Amino acid sequence: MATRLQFENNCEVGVFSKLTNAYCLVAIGGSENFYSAFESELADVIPIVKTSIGGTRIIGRLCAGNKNGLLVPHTTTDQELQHLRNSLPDQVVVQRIDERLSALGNCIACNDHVALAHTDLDKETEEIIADVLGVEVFRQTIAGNILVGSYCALSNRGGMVHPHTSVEDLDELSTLLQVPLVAGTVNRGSEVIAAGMTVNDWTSFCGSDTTATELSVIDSIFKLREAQPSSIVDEMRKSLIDTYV
Amino acid sequence: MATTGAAETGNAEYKQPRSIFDLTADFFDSCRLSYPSETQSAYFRLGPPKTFDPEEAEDKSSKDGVILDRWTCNTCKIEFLSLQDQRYHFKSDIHRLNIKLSVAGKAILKEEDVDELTSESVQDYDVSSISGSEDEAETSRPSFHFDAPKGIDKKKLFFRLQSGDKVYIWKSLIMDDAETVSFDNDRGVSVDCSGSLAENEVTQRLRNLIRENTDDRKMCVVLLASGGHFAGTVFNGKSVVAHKTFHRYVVRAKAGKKQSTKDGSGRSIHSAGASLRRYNELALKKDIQELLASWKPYFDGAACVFVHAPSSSRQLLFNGGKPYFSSQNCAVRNVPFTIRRPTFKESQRIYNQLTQIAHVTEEIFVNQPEDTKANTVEQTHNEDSSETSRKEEPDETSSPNIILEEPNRIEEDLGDGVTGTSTPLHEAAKSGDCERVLEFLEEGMDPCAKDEKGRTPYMLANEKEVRNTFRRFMASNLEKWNWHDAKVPSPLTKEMEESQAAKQAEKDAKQKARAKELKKLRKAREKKAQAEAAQAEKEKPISKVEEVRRAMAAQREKRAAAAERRMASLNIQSTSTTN
Repeated sequence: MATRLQFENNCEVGVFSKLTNAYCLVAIGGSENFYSAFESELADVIPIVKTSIGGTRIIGRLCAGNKNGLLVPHTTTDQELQHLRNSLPDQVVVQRIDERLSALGNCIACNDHVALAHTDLDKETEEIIADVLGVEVFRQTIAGNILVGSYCALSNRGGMVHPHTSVEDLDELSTLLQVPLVAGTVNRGSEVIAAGMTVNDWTSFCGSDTTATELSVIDSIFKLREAQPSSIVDEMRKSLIDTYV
Repeated sequence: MATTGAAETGNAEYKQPRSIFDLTADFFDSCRLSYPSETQSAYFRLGPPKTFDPEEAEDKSSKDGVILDRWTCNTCKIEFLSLQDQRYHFKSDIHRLNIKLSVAGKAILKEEDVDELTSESVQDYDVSSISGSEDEAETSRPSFHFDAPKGIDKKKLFFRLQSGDKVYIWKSLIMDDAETVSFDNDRGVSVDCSGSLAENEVTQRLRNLIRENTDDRKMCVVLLASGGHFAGTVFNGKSVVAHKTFHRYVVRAKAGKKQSTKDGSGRSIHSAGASLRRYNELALKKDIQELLASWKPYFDGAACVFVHAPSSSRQLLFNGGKPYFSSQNCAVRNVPFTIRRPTFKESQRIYNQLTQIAHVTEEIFVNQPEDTKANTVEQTHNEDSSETSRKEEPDETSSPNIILEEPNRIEEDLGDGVTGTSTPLHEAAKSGDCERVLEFLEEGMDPCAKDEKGRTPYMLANEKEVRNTFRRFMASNLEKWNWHDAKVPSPLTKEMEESQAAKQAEKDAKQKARAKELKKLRKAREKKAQAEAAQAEKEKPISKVEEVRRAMAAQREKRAAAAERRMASLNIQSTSTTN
């Protein structure tokens, strides 16, 4: 199920967090509420890391990653990089990229197998994306926007794109990426999908402005109702404890 | 429309350029070599790309399940045969370029255009990112295919196949640079040059080439060297056997010229960068020679070596006329087209281009109705039969007429569509040829005709004289065309021109007078300034320092005088005492 939350009275939760299948990054904030919302949902499954990137809190827009790796922009300080490397699981490769475009989260949309990239990214960056994240990289726009990372949220099970995407483009993209896609909004009509939500294969966090309709679309396209590792783990624990007692 | 579309796509698939390694053994059986100029009349270079038909795609999508198989690229308007093709396309540079163009609101490029396009602007596209060079790419796009340069055609061999299709291959694939083909068979004039080949010899070579496909095939090496980059690749059929690339720092940026030319002249440059460059030049040469030596078995087994090493890069591969690699068994040939920066990818592209066989289509427009197509085919057949007579006559006017007729007909077909096609008038206006513009206008060519981007000839005219030609013609034929549609702002009559000229002359005279006056004034001012300076020199007030110095000098003088006086008095005293 998707969870609704806020970051210090701001609904753009995708800006202040980065959720993947192997880890979750959250921004360092004044209040612990944001962090504890993630903690309560994910704590037993994947590590949650509090960090800043380049001294800023907009980590979700600055970095791009999946279960294989994490790409951070050149603005990242050495301390931050070290902190991330220490906190993330060993199999996750953390790589700092020398790329003119530093908001990697806005320029790259990826799941564990494919990635869409901004057309102006360097060839070298494209190769790094392919190597570190283990994905096939395609250059494409979403509804005429070159900031593919902002206007698209992808998981391995589905994806949501800018509401103005045409049906032809939607079909083409879903064929290309091999995931079902739907055009939609978050946060009561916001078209910057990735800023308003963050998603992985079994859970999603949306801004608290997100309407029930939007939530149901998100749940159905990302197939969040069917499989929830956390719930499965919970069930298992219950039964384990049952047998223990 | 739907049926023609389907036919078109089927046709297109079969007309697409193919690698010679995919051909069947009997492909070239009973083919005939055709004379290049015969194909010059009017044609588009290649078969049309598979145009994307929305209806068809919709049918497909409605049939399929959850993930729809839509193997298309909406940006580039291409349809693919498989997901692999589609994914490959989405990673390609042409797709990236097209996205950037479409985001900028410009027309997209077709793949064939880019293959032909070897201008500076696309040279570096496969090396690093593209930044804002689309404009040049677009302006240099060839809009008229039928004035393809004759030089290129000389490097190709055209064939008419048994099926009646025309195809071409690059000449250097089967022939050395020095060899030529004699077209004596249908002209009755035998040219017995030493290096010329008869038609049957050429076709025999082609057949051998195809036969080789089946059994033991010979290798082919592509060597590219320019600007400190070197790429060498050994191909066998369609597969790469070995490849190696080098890059050394040998070109100093912004040095104006190649610095190595100065090394020989004695006045060599002694900077650190220059010595680095010198070292790297030697190192590159050594690297390449070592590689060529280690590749000896490949060269021995190769049928031919394609070389691209312009100007001084040639000495990396050749010692005088003799190549550094063993070339007893293979022919060394130049790459007949322009290449970009030597990379592995580029050498693959070159090899694919060289070994591909492309169709020459004779119909001009993709969406021409069936009956007109039949007409054109018939027409060309007629031309074929009468070509011998036509060629011998110095009747040059016939061929331009064909070109002129074609766009007019298309104009009628399209009716009042927003996008049209560029006419010779567009070309003339663009090239700034006033005489031709006037000629075309007098012949009755439509100045309202729009090209692919909806521009009228007047909009394309860069030079004032050409624009004036349009306006003059407008003045004399005000009723003939809708000049508002032609975007010609106002007529230009004789009187207007005269009055304008008079005005201009007056203006010029005024300017001249003013310039003269200004000059006078400046001279006067200069004189005055000089005089003043001289005056100032004279009455320069004595500065304080000077005053002090003078005072000090005066005092010193006084002191000296006093001392002298004292000495004198002393002397007097002493003399008086001694006395």
